[in-house]
Amino acid sequence: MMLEALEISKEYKRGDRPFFAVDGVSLSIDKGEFICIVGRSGSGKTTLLNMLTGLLTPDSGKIAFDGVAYDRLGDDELSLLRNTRLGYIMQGRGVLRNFTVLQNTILPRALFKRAEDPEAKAISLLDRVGIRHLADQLPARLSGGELRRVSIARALLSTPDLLIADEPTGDLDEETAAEILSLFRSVAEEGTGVLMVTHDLDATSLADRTLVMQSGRLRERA
Amino acid sequence: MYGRPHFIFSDIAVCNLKRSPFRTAGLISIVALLAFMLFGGSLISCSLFNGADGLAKRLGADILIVPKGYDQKIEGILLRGEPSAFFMDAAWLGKIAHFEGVRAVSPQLLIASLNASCCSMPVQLIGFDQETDFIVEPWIKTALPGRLSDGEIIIGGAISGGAGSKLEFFDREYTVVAKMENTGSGFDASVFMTMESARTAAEDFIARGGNLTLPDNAISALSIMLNEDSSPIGTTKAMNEHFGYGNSGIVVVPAKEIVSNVSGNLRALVTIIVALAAILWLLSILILAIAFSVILNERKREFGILRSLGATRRKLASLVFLESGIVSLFGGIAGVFLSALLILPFRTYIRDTINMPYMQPSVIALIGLTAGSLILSFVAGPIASLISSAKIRKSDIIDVVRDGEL
Amino acid sequence: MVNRIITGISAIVAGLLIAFGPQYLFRLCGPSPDGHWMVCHWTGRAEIGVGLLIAALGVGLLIFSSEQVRLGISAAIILAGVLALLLPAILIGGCASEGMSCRRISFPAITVIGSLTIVGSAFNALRLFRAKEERIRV
Repeated sequence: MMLEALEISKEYKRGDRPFFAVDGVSLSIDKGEFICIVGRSGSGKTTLLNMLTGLLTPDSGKIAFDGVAYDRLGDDELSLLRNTRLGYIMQGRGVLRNFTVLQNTILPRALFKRAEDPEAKAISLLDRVGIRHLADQLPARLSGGELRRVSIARALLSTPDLLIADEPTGDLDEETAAEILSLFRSVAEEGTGVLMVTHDLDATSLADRTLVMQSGRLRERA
Repeated sequence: MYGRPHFIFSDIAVCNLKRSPFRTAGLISIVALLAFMLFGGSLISCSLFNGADGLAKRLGADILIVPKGYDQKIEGILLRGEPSAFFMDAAWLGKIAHFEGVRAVSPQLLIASLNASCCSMPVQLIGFDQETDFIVEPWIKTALPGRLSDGEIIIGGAISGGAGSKLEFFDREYTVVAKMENTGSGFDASVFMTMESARTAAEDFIARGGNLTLPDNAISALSIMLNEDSSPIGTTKAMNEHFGYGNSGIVVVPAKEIVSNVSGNLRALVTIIVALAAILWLLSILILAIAFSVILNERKREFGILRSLGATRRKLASLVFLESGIVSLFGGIAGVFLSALLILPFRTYIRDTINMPYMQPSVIALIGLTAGSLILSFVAGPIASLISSAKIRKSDIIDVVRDGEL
Repeated sequence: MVNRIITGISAIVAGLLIAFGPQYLFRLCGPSPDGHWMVCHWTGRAEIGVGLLIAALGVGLLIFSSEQVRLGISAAIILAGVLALLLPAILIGGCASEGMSCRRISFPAITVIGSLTIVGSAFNALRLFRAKEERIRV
């Protein structure tokens, strides 16, 4: 198993009362698997993803990537993991408005340098998601769908082992949403694991497995 | 294909600053103001010290004797080069020479020229006695090759011309044999000549209808050097008692008092300047720290995105550090440049306004002041960003993008 | 568009100050008692020419929209600014004594305004040059 989460929980306080945003969730994803998690807003999906990407530390339970537990890794190592082996497509417009589309796409490589020139790859990724002609534009000029594609291209830059997407079709029209879902499908077929979180039930049609998140708990979809 | 340079980490900082021009300009302005005050304050202080120092070093006389009522005038000559002409009987030379404690005494003759071929501004002509002189000699020893003859002059640093050129006073030509270096004192606008030449000049002035009465056997002032064990204050008091406190028509002035008064004022002024500069530095850091803190809150989303892409906490902190460093660098350079641009060319105007001996420091000292001001302003930004950087390093606040928060 | 207005008006103001400042604001020395004009007077006359040139170039900055043309005009303003500095310092000069009005106030003022003009135009030229490069690349 590539990513394994075992009984992870996260507790928050709302006023005086504590509540579990994520309550004893166990989850595993393998290479090439396309998994969908559905649930209403507020069901704890984003908190779960934040923990799986190592941005948030669970109050209890364990998460491991390729057998290495997160709690054994320091900030530098976790960040490197996020940079090279995970691709996180955040909810909303996860794009920096001070940089052009191309600069946003190669942003991960500006954080951790590697030998190969990222530009050629970035441009081919932008081409794959259909927005190469917008490479020099600033985000302010792009539509919601186009911004989402930038996030996707960026997430794929380091050829991640696992792609994690939070509501990727959120505010998109049907046609664009379908294009993005089939892109995820083809990425999965190339061997990348895909974990997608959505509140749209129709989006689950292309997934290998669908799970349901409710009140912080995860179960298989009936 | 696009021919663009590789996008590296520092580009993130530069891009961020470039795309918020007003905010960046505001931050740069704060640092620029700081650098402006630091450099300007230190330059003016240095120049004041140089001026007073030059004056103190070269003033050979312990006591000056001038006609009654003209003690303020002699101060004006020494400090500001305000030309004067006044006279007393040369017989005083003999009376003073044998006074207890007096080691040497030398006369000067002071004439004010209202215009000369060099300039339509008043110039101080100073006649001195080469046999007994000890007061002018320290000022001109670097300039004078031999002895001065009648008709030959030595000019101060602020007067145009060099060795060999000619100046006209009251329609008579004088040859410049040497030029003094700048001293920041009143002697910069003075012309030194023999007693005879000075007397001739005075007569020329009167011949041309000048308003001057030159008594026979006149001198303007007596410079007195005391024995090692005589105190200027004590001897002044003794002389005043002996000569009746001005009733005999003369005034005894402890010369070095003039200078130490200047130094005293100067010390106070410079202390104030330094204190203000330190307060300004701290205030700037405080303002920048608050600004960075506010900006940090605004940029939580941006930092959250960078975190999700794999930025380490250290990298984010160094991003903030880098941005503040860039802001400080440009602000520092701008501030020092503007300060230098305003103060260096206007040095004469500043000196006249402050009304104290004022001499700009040497090039090396200027470089030192520039470097010091740049360094102090450059570190202000990063120091101010330390708190924000620390916050980023420690907390989870920016890591979490909760449900619906974007 | 905003840049054009700012840079154009700045150059015009700077030019006018260089031209007429020494005449009316930070005045040069008057004539000597026998009616002769002193050296600084002629420097002031030359500065009228240079200053008006800079102001005219500033009008050009306002009018022309082409970046290339404005880049050329900025370069010209830089050179004119250098000339404005050289006139009192080397080419013509001023009065002898440092205490004279021209040396005390007028020339320092020209130094300040001329230097700012040069620096401002240099920044403008750099900005225009970069913008031109970006355009060529894409």
